[in-house]
Amino acid sequence: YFDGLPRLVEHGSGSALGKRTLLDMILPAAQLTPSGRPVLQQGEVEVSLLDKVDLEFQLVGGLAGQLAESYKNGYAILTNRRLIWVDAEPVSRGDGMPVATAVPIAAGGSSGVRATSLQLAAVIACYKKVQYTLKGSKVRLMLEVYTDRQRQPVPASGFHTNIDLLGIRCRGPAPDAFKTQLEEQVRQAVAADTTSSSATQIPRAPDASGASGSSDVSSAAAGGSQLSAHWSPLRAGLRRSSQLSEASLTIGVGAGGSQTAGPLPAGFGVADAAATEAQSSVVAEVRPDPVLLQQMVEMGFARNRAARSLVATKNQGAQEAVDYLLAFGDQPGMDDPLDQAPATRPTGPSPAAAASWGTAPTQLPAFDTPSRFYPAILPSAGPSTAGNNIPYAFSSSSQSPYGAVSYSGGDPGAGAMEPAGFGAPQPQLPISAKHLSALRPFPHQYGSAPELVRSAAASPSVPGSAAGSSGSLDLVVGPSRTIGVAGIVKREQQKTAESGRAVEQAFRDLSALMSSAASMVALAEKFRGVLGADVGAGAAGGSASPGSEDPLLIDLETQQQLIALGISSPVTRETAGARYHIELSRQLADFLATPLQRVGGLMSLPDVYCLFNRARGTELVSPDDLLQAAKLFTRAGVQGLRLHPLSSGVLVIQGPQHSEEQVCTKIAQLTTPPPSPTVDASPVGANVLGEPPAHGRRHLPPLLGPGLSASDVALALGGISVAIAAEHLLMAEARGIVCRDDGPEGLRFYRNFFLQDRLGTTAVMGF
Amino acid sequence: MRRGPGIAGLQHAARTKEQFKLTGEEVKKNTLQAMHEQLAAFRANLEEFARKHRMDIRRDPVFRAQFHTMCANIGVDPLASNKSLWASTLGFGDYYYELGVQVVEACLATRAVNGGIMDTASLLKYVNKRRGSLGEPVSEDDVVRAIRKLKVLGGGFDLVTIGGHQYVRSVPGELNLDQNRALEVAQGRGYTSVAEMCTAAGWPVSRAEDVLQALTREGMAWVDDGAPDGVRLYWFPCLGGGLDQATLQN
Repeated sequence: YFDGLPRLVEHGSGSALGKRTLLDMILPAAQLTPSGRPVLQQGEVEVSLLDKVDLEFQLVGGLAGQLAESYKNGYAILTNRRLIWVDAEPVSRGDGMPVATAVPIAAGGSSGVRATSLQLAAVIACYKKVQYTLKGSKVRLMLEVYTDRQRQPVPASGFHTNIDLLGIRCRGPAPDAFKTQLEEQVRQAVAADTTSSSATQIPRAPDASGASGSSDVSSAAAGGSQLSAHWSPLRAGLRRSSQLSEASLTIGVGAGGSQTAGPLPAGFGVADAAATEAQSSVVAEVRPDPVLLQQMVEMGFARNRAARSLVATKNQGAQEAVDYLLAFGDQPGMDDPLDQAPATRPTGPSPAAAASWGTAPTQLPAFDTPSRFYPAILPSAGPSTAGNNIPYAFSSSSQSPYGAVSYSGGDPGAGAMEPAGFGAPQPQLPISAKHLSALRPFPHQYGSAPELVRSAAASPSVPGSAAGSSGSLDLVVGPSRTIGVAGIVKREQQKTAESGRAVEQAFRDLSALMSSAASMVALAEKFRGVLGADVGAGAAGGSASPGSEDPLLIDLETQQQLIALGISSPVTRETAGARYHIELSRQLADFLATPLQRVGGLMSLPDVYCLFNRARGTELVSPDDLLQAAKLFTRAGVQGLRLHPLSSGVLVIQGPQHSEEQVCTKIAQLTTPPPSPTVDASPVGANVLGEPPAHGRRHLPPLLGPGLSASDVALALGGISVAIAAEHLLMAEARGIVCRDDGPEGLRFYRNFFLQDRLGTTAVMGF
Repeated sequence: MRRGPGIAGLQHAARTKEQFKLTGEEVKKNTLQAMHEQLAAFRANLEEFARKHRMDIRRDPVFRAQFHTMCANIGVDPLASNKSLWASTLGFGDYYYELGVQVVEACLATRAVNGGIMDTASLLKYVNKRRGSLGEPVSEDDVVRAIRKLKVLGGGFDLVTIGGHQYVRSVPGELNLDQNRALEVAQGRGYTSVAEMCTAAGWPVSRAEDVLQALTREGMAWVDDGAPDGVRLYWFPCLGGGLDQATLQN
């Protein structure tokens, strides 16, 4: 598959495209906000970010209209639904103009911002590939993605025709942490996707295959729903019962030559409620389909091999089994007869099945062949979530007692089902008991096997009981000490002793940690001087390429590590730690758009800090990070927001329309006097012109209105600090809207009655 | 390595200099290599530590304080960024930043009463009340650290010491010496008067009046004209003299 030849998987005829396209994956574009951050869907949160990545396609691929072999120089953002790649180029645009959103420009090349996304539910597997060349090593994360006929990624529960390979070349930091998070998110995304699709199985059939055109639906029309939706244990059970009819269906489709591989084990273990059926159906599914087996034998394969391959591919079809055989044909033990007892499962595919999702590919012998995805898919249900492990762990439990132990220890959700006592857990007990007795060095005593079996039947956590029983064994000489008040007392003593030990241990650990940190910091201090000198000398210390051979300069990675330790100088942080802060500043800009408008365009940093952190909820930002992000507004290409120090020392973020008009109208509104209903109702203390008018005006002079102090304005404008409110008042005074009253009781501002009441100098002098 | 005369000597000197430079680079490269290795080892150490004692750090304020002291001793700032190694492995970054937010809000809420200066004891009480019983208990050391972090934001957040007590200032603008002295004098009973200022600090009347009026303008002092003998008293709620109970109930 991955030797560059076009796919051999289309129908012989009637393809919707009319000809075989050599194009590779087509990815949808991702929307970007004006400041260059990707727009997240509802319920989507950002998980991780990896800087300096290139997207590499096998042939060409990417956004429709901007196909290329690779998209270079960007960064990848991992959310809980998608993997978004954003082009990092436009940051260096000097004029700060708003960059275009991710609509691809037909001019091609690297004009405009490109951002493209890949939904995680379409990813099958991810592995890291390192290529060692003369110039250094190239680190790549390879993703395998389900795609449909138009080469667009479809979720694992949808109808897909191909598996495409997408490469992420990592030029920056090591992607290991990113990879683990990616795997975790894919696992969750796939699980979420299949739960949503299992709820709507039948209607999903036309939806999932909609992208591939109606021809596919019609070709699978005879059993439409059965083919396109994900593999569900319930349907597998039904399938078992109506084996022949289903087999004829698969034959029919298989003969058509289309690879209608249902996206199965991604949806494998999700239906917890159907776990019992899963149990029984998995037990049944271990058997190869006799019709398919016959087919394969007629094709010329040895019977045992064919049986094993059918078992491994879960009887999906002849084509898949053939692929599997081609990949794993040279495994030892392929020709052994397939026994009934699970204890003698073939060892070839099973270690892969037992392995965790992320590491499955590395364990497989045929590392680069396409059929790798079969075993890789199998454990993709994830060992950690409840219920998922049941089918696989059962099949792997025969391998090793550890499989049994990990299974039973790992699913609290299935615990409720176990006492129901269907057939599946029974075979486990002997194994686990054997395993546990292997663990325990001394012969069975009190709290031994009978207790173990009982507790295993009663509670799902066999290791828990093992620990408990062995714990109790360790404690006692005879059983009497563990029960009764004496036992409780003894346990409490143990607990306090342990906690005391733990605290001592903690302090010892802390000192050990600090001593190692101290030695390392001392070493790093030596380099700080070097780095400072180099930066001062203009040598691009921060922008040195990571593969730099120069021993005098610390490379980028070390700098970042130093920063991560919190021992960097501000210079280092500005040059090296940039990506996180740039993203943060963009996020801040997006977030501050609304609040800034509300308060008139000026907000002090502590207020921003409070607002931003309250909005974030978790993963809060530190004040240093916030300051750094605010300083990077220009560099991040954010338009309109600037960090601005005021004369009083307050740092403020100034919005694009530092709208003085808005503030002034608000202040004017606050200082207008309430309309007095009757003439003789004189508000207390409001009338400054107390004496009757000398020049005989008939009505009382207009009221002065309330006096404002800075805190009043802060309260009224809402969400601003007193310092900013004072600044606003001073600005309003400069515009002539208010006048000040500076007395022993403080500084207050009243409406500018000199101006508004048209008091000329003569009128004033008239008093 | 004798400095010989003539051209030979010069050449010799140049050669030795070259040698030294090469050796220096070699040493530097080795040190860099050693640092890389130490960094990796330290990271492993830290993760091990985090795995074992993450809960302890969260639960035990004494342990936390110890941790911070040791970090300060070696010159490391674990709270510098939430993305730093410390915060991500040990996971207490959020705790301090959340605390910072609560401190800012506490200062904002009481500013109308105490004019921007709050003593740490009442701040602690306020924050604990806000957090309720759900959160982990907050020690004074934690609050102090959170405030130190907040200093970066400008806006005047800082710790000031007046007369031996520590206060949190949340407004920009320094207290000059006279104002400091006035607060010190008032610390005993929570209030003072012009006459008391004159006797205690030895100032002329005009100076005492000036200072007390300035403090009133700032909002830190409240005027009380209802004393039995008619003398104008100046109360300082920021000194925790009992007015803060009223604000807490509000």
